Amino acid sequence: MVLIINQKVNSINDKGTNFACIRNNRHMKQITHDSATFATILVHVEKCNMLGSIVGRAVKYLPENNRLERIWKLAQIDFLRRYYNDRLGLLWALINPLFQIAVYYLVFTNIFNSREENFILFLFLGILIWGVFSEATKGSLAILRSKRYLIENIQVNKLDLFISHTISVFMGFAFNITIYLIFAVFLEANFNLNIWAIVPVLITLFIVCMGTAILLNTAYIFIDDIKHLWDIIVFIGFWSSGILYSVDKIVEVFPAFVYLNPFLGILKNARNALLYGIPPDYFLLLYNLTYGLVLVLVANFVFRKCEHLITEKL
Amino acid sequence: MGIEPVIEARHLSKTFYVREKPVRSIREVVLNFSRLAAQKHKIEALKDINFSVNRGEVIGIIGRNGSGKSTLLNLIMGSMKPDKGSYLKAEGRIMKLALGMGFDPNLSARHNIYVNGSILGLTFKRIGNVFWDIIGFADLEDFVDTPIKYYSTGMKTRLAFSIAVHADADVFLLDEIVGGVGDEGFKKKSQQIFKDAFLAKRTILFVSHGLKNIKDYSDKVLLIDKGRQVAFGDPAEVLAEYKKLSRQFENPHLVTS
Repeated sequence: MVLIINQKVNSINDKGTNFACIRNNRHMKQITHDSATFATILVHVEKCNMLGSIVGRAVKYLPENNRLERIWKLAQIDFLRRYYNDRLGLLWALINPLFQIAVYYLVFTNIFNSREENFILFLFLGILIWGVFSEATKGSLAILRSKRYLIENIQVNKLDLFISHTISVFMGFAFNITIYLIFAVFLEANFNLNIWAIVPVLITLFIVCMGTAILLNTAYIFIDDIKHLWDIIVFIGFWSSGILYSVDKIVEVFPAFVYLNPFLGILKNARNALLYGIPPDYFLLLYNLTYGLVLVLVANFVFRKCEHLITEKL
Repeated sequence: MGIEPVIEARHLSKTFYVREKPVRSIREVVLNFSRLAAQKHKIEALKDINFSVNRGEVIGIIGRNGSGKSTLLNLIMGSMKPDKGSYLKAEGRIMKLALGMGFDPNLSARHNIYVNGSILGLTFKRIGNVFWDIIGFADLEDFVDTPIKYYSTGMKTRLAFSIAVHADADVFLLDEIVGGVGDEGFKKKSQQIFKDAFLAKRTILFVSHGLKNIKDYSDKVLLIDKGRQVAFGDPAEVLAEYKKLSRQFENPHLVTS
């Protein structure tokens, strides 16, 4: 029995990318000890391998490019480390938002009498998207220290580290958004051709997250406890980005805020695409994309000016 | 003369500004804002270093502890920036080998090889081709998927050495791991490689306190003391200089008498 499973795990591993590799090793030990968990482990390994091999295959069709490969590998490693050190693995990435949704739903429907249409999905989408931003920025604060072994001994392009970290956050997001879509089908969200707008919205989300992460890390070179300040900003952002109530309500009170906080536009357009099925707000779509691009360019410029200080200061 | 130096330093200096009490928190930055410049303490880690290295040369770097050898390697790596007015050229892919270097302790050798190899410019296909050579050379066949944190120092150094040798970095910076690492068997192998790397026209800069290594392997030697360049050139001459310097340091009164 042990042998068969070992073979199976190995063959799974050989097929795709070696996505399940780290787990594999540890699981082998578990397998020999604990026969009751065989089935769950197999399902687990297969599931994570499925995701890996789909993307892995997609990457293989791209022209052989050293830099892309490296970014992909670093993202993969980052992702594995984040979720596969514990039994529930990727499920943790889902449990957290689900509980948040449950709490906010109960509070807002029962106490504040929120009348948003399809409020569960409304919350779900908002919390998932904000979760990406919060994780991509807070998590990025560990990059310079945890990847120091590369920075000091090999000439690594530090931008790659940020790109791959953001990709790894989006891998978890891909899993969550799939769960959202399943929910959305059951709860009768309006899906139609307007769904295309989610693509530019996600691109905007990606570059905004990356730009912010780079800026934050530049500050981190000089200030150790920037993390606490950032926690506060993320908290304010959570309550001012229209996650718990409609974006339009904020815009009514502070019209200019929509230009300052790109998440108002991102959330509005994401909901239009994945919940209401209405066309995006084209102006905000373009504005936010430009906002994101400018942010990344500025962040990159500032970071390049300071990156040589990393070895000295950190 | 036709030969372009791979690494060239002219008037290379590096000054650190260190505060007695580091200002690293938000509170301190706010409180110290007006006085930021005033409290700095100046340390000249390197001052006016001039040397050049041609492709395929092996350069030994010697100097007592704290003389600025590691700062020099960091500058060549590009992880630190030299002072204004310095000129430093360093071409090609550079890899530094030091004890306990270059690996993510939580990842297996497999992942580390892919990451490191990739950064050194190899495509995954090529890494796949040489993967077992790397493992075989480092004698780590049984530990491919073991996290690096369970490796001994010797195993880590062997792996680093093996990756570097197979990854075709153009310039190697070796920090105290010259002339073979590990047990006798591996030491022989790595000594052999050390000579072969020279033959293969790779450029090596190494820091060592072992005078025998410096004498055996280097074409030229750079001697630094307290951040200043004392000598650069023929190993025998520079080593004599170094011995004189050490004697002065051990018996300062000898010089005056």
